Amino acid sequence: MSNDVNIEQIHRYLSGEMEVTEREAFEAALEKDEALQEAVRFEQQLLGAIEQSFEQQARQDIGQVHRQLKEQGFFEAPRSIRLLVLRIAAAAAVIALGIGIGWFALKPPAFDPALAFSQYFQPDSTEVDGIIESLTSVGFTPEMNRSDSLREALLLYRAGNHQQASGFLEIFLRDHPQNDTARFYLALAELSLSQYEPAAERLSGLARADGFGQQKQAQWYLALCYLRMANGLNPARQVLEKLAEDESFDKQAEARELLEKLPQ
Amino acid sequence: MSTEQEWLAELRAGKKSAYEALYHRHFRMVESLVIRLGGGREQARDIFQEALLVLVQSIRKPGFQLTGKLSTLLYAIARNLWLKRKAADKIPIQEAGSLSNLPAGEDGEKAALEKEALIQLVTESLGQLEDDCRAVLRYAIYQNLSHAEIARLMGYTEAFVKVKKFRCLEYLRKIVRNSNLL
Repeated sequence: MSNDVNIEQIHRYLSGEMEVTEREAFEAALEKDEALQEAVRFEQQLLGAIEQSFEQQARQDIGQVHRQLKEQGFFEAPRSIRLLVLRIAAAAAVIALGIGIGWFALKPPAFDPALAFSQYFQPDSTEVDGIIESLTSVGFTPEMNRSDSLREALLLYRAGNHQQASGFLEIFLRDHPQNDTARFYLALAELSLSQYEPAAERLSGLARADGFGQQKQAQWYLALCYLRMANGLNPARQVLEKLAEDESFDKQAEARELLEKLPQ
Repeated sequence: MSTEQEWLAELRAGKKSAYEALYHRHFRMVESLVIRLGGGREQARDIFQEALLVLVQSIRKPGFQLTGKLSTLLYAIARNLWLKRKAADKIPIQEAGSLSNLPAGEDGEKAALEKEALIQLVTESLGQLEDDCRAVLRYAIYQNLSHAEIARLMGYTEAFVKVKKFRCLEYLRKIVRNSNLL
């Protein structure tokens, strides 16, 4: 091997980063130079062994996490118990909220955006029924793959499975990126999962979409979403001021009420 | 940095906490999928474990960029794995004495043992490296990231990463040369 064999050049050759002319020149040199052949073989095996080593490490780590979770009963926990725990937690949260509200009623508190969000945020469960029905009645579903179906995603959403609904809606949106209904319900699922940034991005687009049937709802949810974001009070106020003046909006009273609670 | 990008960075860094977080957040989603597609809970666990490894392999492909959510990618991987497994179950198993049962041959066995010994040596040597060195090699060789990307992730300059990678590799090179395995 010539003394000036460039290790970096060998790596670029092995990773396929060389341009055609450079590669051809390198291969011509490789054919004549046994030491270079040896160096390439050495580097190839060394890099391969390093890759394999990291791969084995990843496999072991995943296996270890899997075993640990198994020992902790993560896989065994029956859903009914999990649901029961969730329900108890929810009941405790409601009681705590009730006590909180009672206390707040006696003594006007400072505005708490998180509390306001939990008071006013209700995932839409009325209009989604009509949408699911319309998807069925126009024979939309049979044309689609089951996993891509908007209807299936909305059924999951209606059932409160926001995590799964979110996955289905994202898959659906890859094929139908302009579908406002899917974007809207994905945003609501994200709100339910406390994923405020992506939800705000989707809702701000829908809040400006004049042809969208749930545009005002999108504005309302956008205002709520802003409450949970850093520096979100002013943008929330701007949206709420508009909704509070809109008599055709079914949550006008709630928009006014929330607007009054916002600190000046 | 968004949470998705943080998770991706943790996966690239090989942190176990990332695997654990993915189990907690997405296992139920995959379990429901497998059950809905005719599988059982036990199979869902296997599929999820396998899907995590495929996810790790996917993000190391040169030029990989996360355009959606990791959960969506994981979901799609798990779905494909399960559908492939179901399809494979329908293919009749080869009879004894068929191709899969042929011996590898002495040369093949020797080569496989040598390769295994080399990987073992490299694994031990990587364990002896300082954390930064191991991280640079992980990013550069396993994750196929450019010097610029590694520099950004580790807060170094590109030139520093280049030199660091060269020195860390040189250390391994010496150990492997002295072992006479290559």
